[in-house]
Amino acid sequence: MSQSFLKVEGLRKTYDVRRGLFGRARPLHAIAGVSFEVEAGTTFGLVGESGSGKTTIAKMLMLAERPSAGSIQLNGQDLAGLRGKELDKFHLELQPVLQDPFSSLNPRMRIGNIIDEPLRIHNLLSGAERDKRVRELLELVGLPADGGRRFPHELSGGQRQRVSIARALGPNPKCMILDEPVSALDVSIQAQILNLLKDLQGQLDLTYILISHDLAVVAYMSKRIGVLYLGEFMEIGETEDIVRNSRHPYTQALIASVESRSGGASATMVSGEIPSPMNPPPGCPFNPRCPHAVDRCRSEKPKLREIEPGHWAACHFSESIPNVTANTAAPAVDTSAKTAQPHIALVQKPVPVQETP
Amino acid sequence: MTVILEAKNLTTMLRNRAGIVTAVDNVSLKVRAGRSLALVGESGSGKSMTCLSMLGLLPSSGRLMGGEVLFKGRDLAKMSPAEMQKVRGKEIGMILQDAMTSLNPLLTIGDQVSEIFRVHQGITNKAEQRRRSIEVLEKVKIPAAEERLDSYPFQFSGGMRQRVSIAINVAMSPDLLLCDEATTALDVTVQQQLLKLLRDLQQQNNMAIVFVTHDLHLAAQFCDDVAIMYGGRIVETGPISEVFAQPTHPYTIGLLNAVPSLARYSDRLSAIPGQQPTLARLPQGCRFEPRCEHAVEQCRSHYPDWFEWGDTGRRTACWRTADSLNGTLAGIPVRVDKPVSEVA
Repeated sequence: MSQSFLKVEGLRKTYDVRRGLFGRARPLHAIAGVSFEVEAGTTFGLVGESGSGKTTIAKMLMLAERPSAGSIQLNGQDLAGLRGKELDKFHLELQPVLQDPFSSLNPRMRIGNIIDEPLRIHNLLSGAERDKRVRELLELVGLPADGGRRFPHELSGGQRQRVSIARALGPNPKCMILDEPVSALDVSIQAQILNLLKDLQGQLDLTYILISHDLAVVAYMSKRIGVLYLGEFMEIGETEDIVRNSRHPYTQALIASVESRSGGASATMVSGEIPSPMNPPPGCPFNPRCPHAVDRCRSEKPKLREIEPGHWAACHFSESIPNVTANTAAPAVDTSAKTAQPHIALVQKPVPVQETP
Repeated sequence: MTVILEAKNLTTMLRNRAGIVTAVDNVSLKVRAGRSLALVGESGSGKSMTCLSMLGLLPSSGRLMGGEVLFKGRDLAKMSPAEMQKVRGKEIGMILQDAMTSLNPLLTIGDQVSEIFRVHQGITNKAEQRRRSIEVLEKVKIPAAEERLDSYPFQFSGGMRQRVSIAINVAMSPDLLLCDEATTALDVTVQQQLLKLLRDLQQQNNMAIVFVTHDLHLAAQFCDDVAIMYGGRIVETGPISEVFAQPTHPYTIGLLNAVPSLARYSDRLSAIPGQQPTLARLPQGCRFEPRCEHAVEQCRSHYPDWFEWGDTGRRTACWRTADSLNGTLAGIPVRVDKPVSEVA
């Protein structure tokens, strides 16, 4: 791996939660120690269910939340030490695009002003230059350059998300935090926005941190993927490793859920729901829902270990659990009663079953 | 198999800022006992309005302008609100997207589940209400049902709340269940659990289900038939396995290709250009024409007639269906998909 652009080490976020007025504060470990690196110009995908801590990580990366422990380094520089001018510069380099383009754009501002605002706040350009820049940005995201006079309510969801992206691109960031950028959009529009983000990444050499609950979206966009569960990584690896040769039962469950929808199928349906981070289960956080769990999983917490170069998993039995892919598994919801298995995957590559060392 | 619900030529108008628009335009559909029909479309395509029209639950700005809703031989469209009240909740259940908003936050789960027994069966005995509520909560696999009766909705997770909502709606063993984006707000693993639950309940009661969703793949997994809506009209319908194996309407094809899949790696998704027209400004001809790469002159001037073929009930509202079927529609790959087992 070349010089990593973003390096996160041992990041933790603990909130004190107080029940009632005089209740004792109890710690809630929203993020219980995560480490990852992101190579410049690539996409790192964070995937997990609601409550897994995806957005908390994003907030800490943007310095909207102070980490309780751990460090974040951008180009070798620790964010915790940034002050004054350096901090301003950091905020320019790292820009967010949020989920809901209906609430993330001020309804009383015109599109042009919305896109112009970060440039104005940071005193980046003179008035005339800023107008020119706004037109450039609108064109860059595929909107008419003269649309700056319009208000957000005049635009569709997809167009609004384009405005959000244009606003984020204004200060020429190096990195964008994409927090569920397409989940509020219609299916036919999602593909447009994902393609736009991919094009922009190529044109502008951007680094993306992509947060989504949708593994298929993350796999489409990312070079590497980290699978979060209860504030910890269950598995990290290259997209191919995660999707084709997952070594963690939770990732496998996610794949199964996605695959059974696409007409492929899955091995086992996981039971239950994500536990409250107030009361994480002892041992492995996933053990109450895991089809492979044994006594050891209930008492001893598995460490995140490197099972192949660049492929990490936090499971005692990473080497021995069966592989799950679209092609090998049985249905999650019994579709045998039907006449024919609906199936829309066009091309399915044969999956090389890799021997794990 | 008995037809439970047949809607014929439903037309619903809505008054909004832009004036009066046709939200549901000449929609016909049919659901049989024990079968599920997926109503698939993007937001604003009219799928929810179709459901609300059938149940007589339109907002005050909307009105059913024409059509019949034959439910077990009776026309719901002609029923008085009082008569409809007796049908809804008893013979027809409806599950909405977010149980947090469909359940009353101030009442316990027990209060809300027992209401259905009080209203539809006249059971006033508290102990009896409680016993039946526990029974129906156990039916939807809520653990420790008896203790959870005294909990409030906010104490439940999203998945559990949706189970409560299912419990209330299947308590009277309805013949028809309408699910409007019932699993959309949930995590994928929980979504799968609820689909399994719905399928089990469907088989127990031989219930007909109308499954409204924007997620084609979820529909394919769960349903028998599909009706794809665009701009207030159904554009393609038929058995879901057939529609997926050989989609014919360019919109259906576009939707199928626009979704990223784990099994099918691609560098680029083929997005459908443009966006859905607003109902106030519909194109003169086919509603999909401005976004369609196969449109010809006829598509611009005339809304397509139904093209019907085969004996499985397939039909498509596209002038170029014949071209699509014989593979001469330029640019559209005609797909003959093999079952999963053969590919592997």
